Amino acid sequence: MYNENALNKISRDHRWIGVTFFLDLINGLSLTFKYMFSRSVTMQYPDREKWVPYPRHRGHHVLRRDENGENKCVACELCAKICPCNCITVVPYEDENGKRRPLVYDVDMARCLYCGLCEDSCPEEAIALGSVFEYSSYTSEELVVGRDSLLEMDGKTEQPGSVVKARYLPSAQSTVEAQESSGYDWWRFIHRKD
Amino acid sequence: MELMTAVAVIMVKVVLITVILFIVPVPLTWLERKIAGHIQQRMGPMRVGWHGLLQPLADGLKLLTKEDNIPDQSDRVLFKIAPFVALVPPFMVFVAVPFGDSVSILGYETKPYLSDMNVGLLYILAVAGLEIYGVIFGGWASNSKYALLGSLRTCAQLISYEVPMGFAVIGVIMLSQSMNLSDIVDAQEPLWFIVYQPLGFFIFFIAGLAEAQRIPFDLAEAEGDLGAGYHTEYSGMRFSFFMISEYLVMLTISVLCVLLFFGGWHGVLIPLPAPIWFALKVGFFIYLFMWFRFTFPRYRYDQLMSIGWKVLVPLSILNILITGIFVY
Amino acid sequence: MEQAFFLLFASIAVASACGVVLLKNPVHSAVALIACFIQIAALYILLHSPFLAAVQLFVYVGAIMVLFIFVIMMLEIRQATLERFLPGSKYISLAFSVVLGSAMLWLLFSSPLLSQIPPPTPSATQGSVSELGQALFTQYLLPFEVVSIVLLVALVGAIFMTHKGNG
Repeated sequence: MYNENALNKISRDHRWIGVTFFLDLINGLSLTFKYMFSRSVTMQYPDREKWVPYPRHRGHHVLRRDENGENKCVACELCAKICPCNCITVVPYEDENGKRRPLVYDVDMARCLYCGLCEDSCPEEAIALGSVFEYSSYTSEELVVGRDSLLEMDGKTEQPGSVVKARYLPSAQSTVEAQESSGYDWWRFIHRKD
Repeated sequence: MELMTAVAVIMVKVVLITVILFIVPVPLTWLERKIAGHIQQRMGPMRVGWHGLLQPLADGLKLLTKEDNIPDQSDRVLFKIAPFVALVPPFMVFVAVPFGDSVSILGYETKPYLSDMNVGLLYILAVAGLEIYGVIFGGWASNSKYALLGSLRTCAQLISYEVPMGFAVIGVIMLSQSMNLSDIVDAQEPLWFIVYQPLGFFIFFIAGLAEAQRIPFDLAEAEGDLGAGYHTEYSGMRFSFFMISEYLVMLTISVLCVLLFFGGWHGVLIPLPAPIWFALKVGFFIYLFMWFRFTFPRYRYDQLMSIGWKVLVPLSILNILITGIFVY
Repeated sequence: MEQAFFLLFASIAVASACGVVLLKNPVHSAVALIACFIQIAALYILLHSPFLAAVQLFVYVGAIMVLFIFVIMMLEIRQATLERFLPGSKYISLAFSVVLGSAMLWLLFSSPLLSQIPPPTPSATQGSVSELGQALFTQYLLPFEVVSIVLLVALVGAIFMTHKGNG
């Protein structure tokens, strides 16, 4: 109803009728009244809901494993070379099978700018930017994440972004636990002009 | 003994009304934030209590514990008393406001209002006009340009809109032949005055919006250009007094709209108890105020003045003329 | 009881009236004047004329004093508070006010009208609107119309003066 401005319908000669009876104001009021009883778009993070990011989301770094459960990384240090802010430190070593593996693989999350160049440059598709986005900390030391925790991180999501039911856990380092794998599409409730 | 009972009844009423008036703004702040939220497709306060119902208490606690800041070079005495000056008139208004027909409690017949004065309407308009002093003193004593500009604007605005407001009420007085509010309500028992006085109600409501300094006439505290207007420099408890008085003025205007144009406590169709009808109608007007606030932009200062003097005053005089012809 | 209320209101009125004269800051004087007007409105209620009290509040407190304060606020009053209102010794002004005051008191008490005023009686209708209208438009029609014309002239004059500068 509000899309078709009532004033436009009335020809210019009769505009004064609309002005006298405040058609424009009533138009506005009806619009806000409609909004008042439409579903609100607030995502109740962290209390009730949580956002599951898109697959292309660039969050916390993650190191992938191959089908045997081995670390895919061969410690070629290409990621450390291409990183624009020098936040990746790799120290290679030779494991019992004679393969080159990272002894140290530290990512400084505080310095990272989440450009994803490490992901692009990796020949083994070992390093990736995953879906985790809750890792704030009180000290910058805690934000330097080592190899073993990078291997434990959640990878990329499969579904498109959605809002899922979640629970806030203040005790466990203030994390928000998702309670279902896929939820509703948040964009569904956004009013857009066609 | 008779005198003692009468005095006791009056004391009870005074305490009751004062307590109610102090409590009413508390849910109103919650309601305003909720309405603001839902109109903007948000949820408003959700975290303190069920759907944020305890949020006003949390806010009050925060305001109580805040530092009571008094600006340097300010007029300390006036700065301190201004919030109280702003708070008193809305309470005084409710002395003359009737809330219903006479009721009997424990065999004692009493009327649910403090004073049945026969110049009730004039008294209410006069006392509501005193509201301006809190704003002026607060703005001037702060020694801040924003506060001073805000209070100057308020001053001009309130004086201007008192005129059409008083004129709009004259139509009602002519119809009911009385300035006693309970007489006016009784005169509306067959038909509400909104039917006879649509123009009068329209003028009264717009002037009421301006008197309560609500959007679209909230130039006194136009946060875009004046910080927060006259209470820029206030903090803590004194600030909350200003807020309480603002909400009470809004309540006053809503109550007056109901009493003068919408039949007071007389219901239609559905037989509900009188206080419930009254509360429902007042609630509708309060909702209207808040709905307006989150729909309309603010008028420019010159537009405000020209609406007041060039539109509302002539219209209200026309209203008096038309009413006079019909009454005659 | 009425006596007690009268004494209360009257003493506050006199005290605030003294404040108007004695306070140095013009804004404080204006505040004292507002307090004085409100006390006078209360006294009108004691005299069984609530209509007059409401009008007193409406006109004097609600409108005229607001304009006073409006003007005072616009002026730079910091200088004014430091200066004396009248140049010269304060004893001269004191002498003048004593002479003026005693002359007014003498006029008041020597007037035969003072003893002729009957005590106020509460009327049954307490000044209803129709009664007031009847009085205004029959008995006091001439003063009413004259006052209206004076106000109209003042209005026209004010508009003329504000438009003079713009040509």
